[in-house]
Amino acid sequence: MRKVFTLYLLLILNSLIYPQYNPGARQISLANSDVALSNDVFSIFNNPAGLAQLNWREVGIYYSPAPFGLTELSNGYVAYNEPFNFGSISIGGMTYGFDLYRESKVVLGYSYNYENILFAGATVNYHTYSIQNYGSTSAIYFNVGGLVYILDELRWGFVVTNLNRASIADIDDQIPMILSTGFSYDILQNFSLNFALEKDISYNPSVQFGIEYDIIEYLSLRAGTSNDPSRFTAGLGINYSIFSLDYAFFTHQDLGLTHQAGIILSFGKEGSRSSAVRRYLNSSE
Amino acid sequence: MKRIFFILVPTFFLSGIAVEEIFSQTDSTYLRTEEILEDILQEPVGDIDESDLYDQLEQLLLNPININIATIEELVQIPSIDISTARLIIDHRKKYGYFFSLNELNSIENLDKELVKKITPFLRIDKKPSEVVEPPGKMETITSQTNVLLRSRFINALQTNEGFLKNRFEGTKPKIYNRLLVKYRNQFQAGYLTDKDAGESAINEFSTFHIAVNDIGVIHRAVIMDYFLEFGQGLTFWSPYAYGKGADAVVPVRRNDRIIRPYTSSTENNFFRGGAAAFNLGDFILSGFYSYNYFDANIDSTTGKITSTPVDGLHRTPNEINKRKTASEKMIGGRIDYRFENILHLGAIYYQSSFSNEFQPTNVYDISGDKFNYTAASYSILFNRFNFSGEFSYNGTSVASINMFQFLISNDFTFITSVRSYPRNFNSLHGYAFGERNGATNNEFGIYTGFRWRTPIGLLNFYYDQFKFPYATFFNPNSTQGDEYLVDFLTKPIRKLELRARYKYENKDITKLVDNSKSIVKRLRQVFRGEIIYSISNKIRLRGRFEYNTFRVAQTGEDENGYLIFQDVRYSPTSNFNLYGRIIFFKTDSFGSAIYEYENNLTGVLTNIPLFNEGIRWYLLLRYRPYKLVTISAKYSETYKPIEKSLGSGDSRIPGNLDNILSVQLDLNF
Repeated sequence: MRKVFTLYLLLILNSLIYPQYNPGARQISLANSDVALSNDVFSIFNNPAGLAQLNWREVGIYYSPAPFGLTELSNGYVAYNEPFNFGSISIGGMTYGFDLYRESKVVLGYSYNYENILFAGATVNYHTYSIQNYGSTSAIYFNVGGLVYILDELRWGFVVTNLNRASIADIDDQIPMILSTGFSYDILQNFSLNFALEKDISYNPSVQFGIEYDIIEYLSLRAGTSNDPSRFTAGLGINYSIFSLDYAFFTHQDLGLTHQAGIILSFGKEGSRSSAVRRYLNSSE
Repeated sequence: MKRIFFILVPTFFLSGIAVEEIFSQTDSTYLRTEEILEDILQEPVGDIDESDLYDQLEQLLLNPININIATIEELVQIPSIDISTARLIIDHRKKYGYFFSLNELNSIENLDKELVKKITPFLRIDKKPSEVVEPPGKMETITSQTNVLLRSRFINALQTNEGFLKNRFEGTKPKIYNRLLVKYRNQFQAGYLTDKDAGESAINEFSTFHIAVNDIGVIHRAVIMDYFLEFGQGLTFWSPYAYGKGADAVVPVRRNDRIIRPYTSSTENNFFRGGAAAFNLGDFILSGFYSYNYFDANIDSTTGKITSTPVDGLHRTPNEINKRKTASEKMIGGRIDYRFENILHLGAIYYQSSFSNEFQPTNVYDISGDKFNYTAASYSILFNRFNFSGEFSYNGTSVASINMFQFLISNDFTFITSVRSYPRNFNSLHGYAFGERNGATNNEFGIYTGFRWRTPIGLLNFYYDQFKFPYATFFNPNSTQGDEYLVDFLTKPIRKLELRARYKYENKDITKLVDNSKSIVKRLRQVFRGEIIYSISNKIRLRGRFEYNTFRVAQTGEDENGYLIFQDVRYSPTSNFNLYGRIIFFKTDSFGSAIYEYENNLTGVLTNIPLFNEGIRWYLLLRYRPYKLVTISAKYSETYKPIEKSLGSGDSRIPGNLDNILSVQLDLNF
């Protein structure tokens, strides 16, 4: 009985301090305002709809070694996306924690491109929680998202996380249910503004804002900000050959500075990411 | 169960002989009707069942107006058609002759294409207008022009509320509704309806029946059995519900009465039972009506006086069953109307009512006695670009009035102003007038001004309403007042994309306890809404909304706010299949800052739900028409509030924090 109680306690504590932001480094440097952008492989964790914007294969790895200076909170993600005629299939994984407490997640996603205007995607998430000497528990939940091109330069995206309101260990709402909606606008071909509104079922809405500027094909600069929690974020990306190396850092008002980095391998992408997506969507019209 | 049989048997019998379908309610009609309703109802009027408004629209759909003989007064019956639109249609007809197809509406200059789509289901074409009054022909025409419409609805809350848990209710949980309508051309209609609310025992706990006749010889309209009356601007007679102030600044303000209407609603009170008829005599219409009907009342056992008249129609507990149809009203009256072309319409009405019991007044201006009579006059003058209309009603002690002036400055700009004056001692038994308090006809003075402007960049609606309640009421010990305005802007910057912004401001006196004494304080309420609607194709429409709502009472330090975010999808891959889904996240500080959300539902049902505290709501609604004659619809909805221990109050309190409802409906049209 005490064992179970402690497990619950840890789970509750975990949900309160939930230290993770969705990957990867690019998304974090935009303060996660990318719900309407979602054009890289890590979209499987954010808005899976966006994956069908890619007509190339992509693999990504992301690692955050010590969020807020605590190595115990380190987390890592991997993601893979494969485009098919019938839509894109993606697989992702996550691990988080340390010896005593560990979470892991396996995600399977599907995304569909409807006439280059509407993109719709869904993921199945299998999330496992384990505490040393106390056992483990798991939950399955679904995310559903959409992304539409209102204009060639203007996108509207939205996603619902944990649509089935799954929870763990018989306590409600241990996995948050989240609605996120936002816009992404390309002011220039290489300069995009992103805005998102995110509402967690039991927290105040978070307003998120991010800009991405591809100065040259090889270098992208990013910055963002959000409230609730209040964050400033920034980062850069180096794109060379099939590699995109991204770095991000952010300051949390109460918890301090965090660094993270990721690498994405794109097979068959030509030029910068935004121009490759644009070319794909215009060519098949 | 026996009752269902009773309804089904004649239906199947008739289905065998029905050959051709002339009933024009296609599936896109559903979508149009919904859009019209959304336009008119989006500014919520409170937690009332507005399904009657849907019912009225459905009656209009069932009896589309013949565009080739319609007068302006008839055309403006269609919601979202105002005088300027009606004029455009009639001018076109005068200039180019009769319409041969409703598509011709698209060729009318200055007539909005979107509006044409919305109004088409309410119109029909009779190519030779003279045939309309021809008597019915042989037997085969009767069958081929007969429509039978059967609707069965079943609504079941999946959570069990306190009333059932504690065995307070006598009946079973589901709400069951059945309706049978038989129509022949646009001239005859018969209908039978039964309704059982959740917790009531008999399936026909409420039932209503009518036979109605339209335009036969000298008969303009006639109804036997259940009906309701409409006169002028609603001071004397109106249906139990009508549109109030809303996002459309012009249409809801001016009423267009239909004299007599068959009763097809499941609201259990406030209708007439007996007979009514209106006859055409040249430019005059003469009408007479008689009713003897029972209604729900709480009667004081010692004095025998009526202390209150509950209108909710719920008969679940022994207490509620005891007040069922305990008092009666006998009503008789007559009316005369004079119409001169499209220019002038004058009406006068008189009726008297006597009740089985006297009313027990709770204050000096309250209704009292058991005998009432009313005399009223109404007018509507339309010339050039001006319209004056109004009504005066006299109850033996005082005169209530409402007058309005409408000015069509151009085809794109309509201005309206309306002045209402309802004295403290004027109580209308069957009226439902325009005002700040929905339907109330006493103790209010108000001035409403509004305009609708189709600007080059979008549609702008604006109104400003000032109101005053000059005398003390049950809630307020003193005279109170307030004002409100609304700005609504709808624009289509690019094809397929609609953006809407709305702001509403209301500053109103209410009574609150300040330092333990009742005092009148100002409550400031503001609502902001932003909405985006994007139609990706004819098949998929996406919609997102953000709404923020705040109210403040400076004297008590109350300062609350709430907001709502939703995401909505409508998917209709084929014309006979519609799927709707919506997910809403909301948070408000209390019920005071609740946000009302109008949502799609089964055909014939309207839901305007107050969302408050913190949580989510989502629903899925499916409408499928597998065969021409059959439509199936189903809805599942769920409201979830993570931090609550229970939802609702009193008998409807649900233990737990989840409220989910499943409803199913079957429509058969032969």
